[in-house]
Amino acid sequence: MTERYPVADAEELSEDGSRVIAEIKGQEIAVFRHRGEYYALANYCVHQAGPLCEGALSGDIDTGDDGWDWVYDDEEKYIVCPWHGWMFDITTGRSPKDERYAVPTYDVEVEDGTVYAVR
Amino acid sequence: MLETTLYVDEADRVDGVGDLDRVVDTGAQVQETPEALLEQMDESSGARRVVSLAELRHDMVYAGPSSYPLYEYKRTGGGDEPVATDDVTDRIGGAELADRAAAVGVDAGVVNPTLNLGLSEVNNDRFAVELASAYNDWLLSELDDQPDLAGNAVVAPQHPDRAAEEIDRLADEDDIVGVQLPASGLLPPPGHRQYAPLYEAAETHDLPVAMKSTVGNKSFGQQYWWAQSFAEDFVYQHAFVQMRNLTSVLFEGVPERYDIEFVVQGAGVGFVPFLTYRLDDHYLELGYEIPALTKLPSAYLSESFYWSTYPLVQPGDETPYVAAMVDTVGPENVMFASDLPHGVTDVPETVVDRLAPALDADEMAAVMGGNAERVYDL
Amino acid sequence: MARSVERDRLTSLEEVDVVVDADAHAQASWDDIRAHLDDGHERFERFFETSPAPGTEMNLYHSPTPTYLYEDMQGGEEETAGLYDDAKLAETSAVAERIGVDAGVVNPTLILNLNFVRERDYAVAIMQGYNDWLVSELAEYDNLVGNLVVAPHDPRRSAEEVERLADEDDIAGVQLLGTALLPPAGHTCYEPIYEAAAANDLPVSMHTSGAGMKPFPEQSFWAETYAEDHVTQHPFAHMVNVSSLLLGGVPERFPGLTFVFQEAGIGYVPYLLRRLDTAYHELGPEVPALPDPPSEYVADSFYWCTQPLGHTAETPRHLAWLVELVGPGNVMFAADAPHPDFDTPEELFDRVRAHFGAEAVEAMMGKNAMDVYDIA
Repeated sequence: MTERYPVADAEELSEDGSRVIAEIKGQEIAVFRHRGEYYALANYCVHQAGPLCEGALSGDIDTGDDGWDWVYDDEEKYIVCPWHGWMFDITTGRSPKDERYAVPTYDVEVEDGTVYAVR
Repeated sequence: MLETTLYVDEADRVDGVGDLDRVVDTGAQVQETPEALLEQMDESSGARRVVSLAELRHDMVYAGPSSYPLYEYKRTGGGDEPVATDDVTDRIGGAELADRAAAVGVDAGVVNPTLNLGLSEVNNDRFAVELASAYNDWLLSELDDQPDLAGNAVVAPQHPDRAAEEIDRLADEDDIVGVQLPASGLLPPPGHRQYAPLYEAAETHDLPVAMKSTVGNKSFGQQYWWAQSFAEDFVYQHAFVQMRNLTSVLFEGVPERYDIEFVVQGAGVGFVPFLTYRLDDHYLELGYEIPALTKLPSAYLSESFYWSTYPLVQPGDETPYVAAMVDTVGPENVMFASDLPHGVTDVPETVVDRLAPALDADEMAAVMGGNAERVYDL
Repeated sequence: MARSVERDRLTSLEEVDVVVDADAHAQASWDDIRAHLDDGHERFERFFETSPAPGTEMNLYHSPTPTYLYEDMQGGEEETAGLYDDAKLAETSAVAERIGVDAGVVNPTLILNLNFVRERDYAVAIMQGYNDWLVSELAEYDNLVGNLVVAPHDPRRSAEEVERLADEDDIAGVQLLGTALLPPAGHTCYEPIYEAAAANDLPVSMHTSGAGMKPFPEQSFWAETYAEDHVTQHPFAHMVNVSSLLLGGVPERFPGLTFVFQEAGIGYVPYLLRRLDTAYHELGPEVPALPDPPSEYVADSFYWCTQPLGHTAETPRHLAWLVELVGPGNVMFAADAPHPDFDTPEELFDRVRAHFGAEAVEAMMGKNAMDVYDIA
């Protein structure tokens, strides 16, 4: 049975790249705004339990078409754990380095200027 | 603790090497002599002229004095009892090797060179290219009458385009089942973009790439300096070469770009779990500078890298270390190798005895032959 | 085969008496070190003031790409201090507390590259300044002790430094840095250091450095990235130094001396020890200094720090096997706090608790370090 919990006023998340971290029943959940959408994930790194969502948002370096050049994709949709640098895509919760690593994600709803996390 | 969590039920084990249908040795070596190589070279070749005047001496053709005479000296003359009866300069061709393999219970083998394991340390690129071709031609002539032996064609990393041409030239030969890229002395390391033609050719012809290490390297790693004894060098040289090369191959994305199977030879299996964890940890923590990979290094390793058993450790180790390492790496990625005909050799019986408590019969069959038959398409 | 369930298994870290980080780090800055310099180092001072980039001009350290970029990614609301910042031991202590470490043995950060310093007198100045800074800092923390650093460039003055500081309560050992140590640690030139350490009953710790090891063993060339360099640098330095110490006979000449190896984990150790024994048996005439196989000396007096343990092992059992093959009595938990590749105590504890008895686990998590470093 899921429930929704108010985590922020929409005004607090009015800009892309902004975030709030709220505690819901003893668990910290972060809500990010990215390209006009909201994404929620646990503030918990599956590596060594670090405070994942207190890290920086970043793009990622990929290889170019030749498989060798480095290309920076500046879409800042990766949260970088401040403890060991593990990265997770905030829109999916998955590691771009290996999809088997993922942090829990939650649905987000917005109603009457309030942002809710659903868990 | 190790025994209770590592060992399989006795009913699932093999009793001994006699239970195996076929033993394939992926690490036997022929011994090519300088004379044999020079005979294979074209009379009109300028490289042949210079190399023949130098009699293929290590201090003139390779990066410096060879470790081989030293190695054999230490093993034969250092102690009271000689452990090897051959001189490394003796010619050991296909027939001789086949006899010795049969005598220790090896049914089939994929052979590597001896002298040319030092090919990457040849200073002059023209010499290297000619030495590779000469060895390969000699090898083919030696394997002609040996139905149970096949070989890796050696390539000169100094000139990747010519290496690719050499692979193209030999790929259709029935007796050539893989490529040997000599691991020691590879500069730059094998993940570098310059090797693209070589890997493309191996991929095109569906040939695995074997990389065998040796000792006493000067042009790469440099650990040789400051080693006070051969023993010191011997302890870490092989693992250094393999760890350094594999880190380069993985982090520069070679297994992502090419569909190639790699066979890693000379350093044993014990360093592999450690290296695997280190590669994974670095990829996850420093992934921004390793964009060439799309999954964990360990995933590529288990998909397409194979590890030779040789060398096991000397008798006297009372722990099931070797079995634990093979089990950790995964028996599906391990291949038996003897290092025949060299001084200290792991014969099938020894390897089977060491691994028997920890592997079931299928796993043992894979290690002792099945994996090699599949990878080398024997 | 089912695992036997024994009654003395621990289930929670809370049951562990003391967790010791056998490889904690201090974040001294150049200013901290210079502020503690004795007279006699004026030339070093002058160099420092006139050089446009004294740190880099002075030493040979070089990394292919920048190190641990995320460490500077100060996201969110928390401003964290980076490496080399003037955080003193406060950050070390805070991180230790946060991850559940009770006590720590402190090693340097900036000075991990001491062996890269080219000029002998500068190295000696840095040794003295850092050590006095360390002693003054440690006085403020009841749960931290430290290793004094020695400069292998000058073994005689290093031995004097050991004598000078050995009686300080907070000095628990000697740090002989492992990376770029030329010649390797078994060379006779280091005997004054080993003599001083043995005479004062201090263990010798060897910590490695992550990248850019141009002086030795040179793999730094051709590494295209920091990651590529860092994978191999740490274990390579230890493998060279351990081989050199053992085959050179140091543990035979200094029977009471203990060695601790830090920052490369333990996974290479079973492999290394068996290769050493193999070399000993096959090439014995070359190793006249040792009457017994290397592994016997190692069991008596070599200790191995666990960090980084390795996170992606297929099953915890595989890491427990490595611990078993190294010998639980010779393993020390290390967190590496507060460095960016640190391990929490759970990293080790969760892998070993089901496979070893309570006493062995307690030993690995802290008791071995307390014994070796004589931590009360």
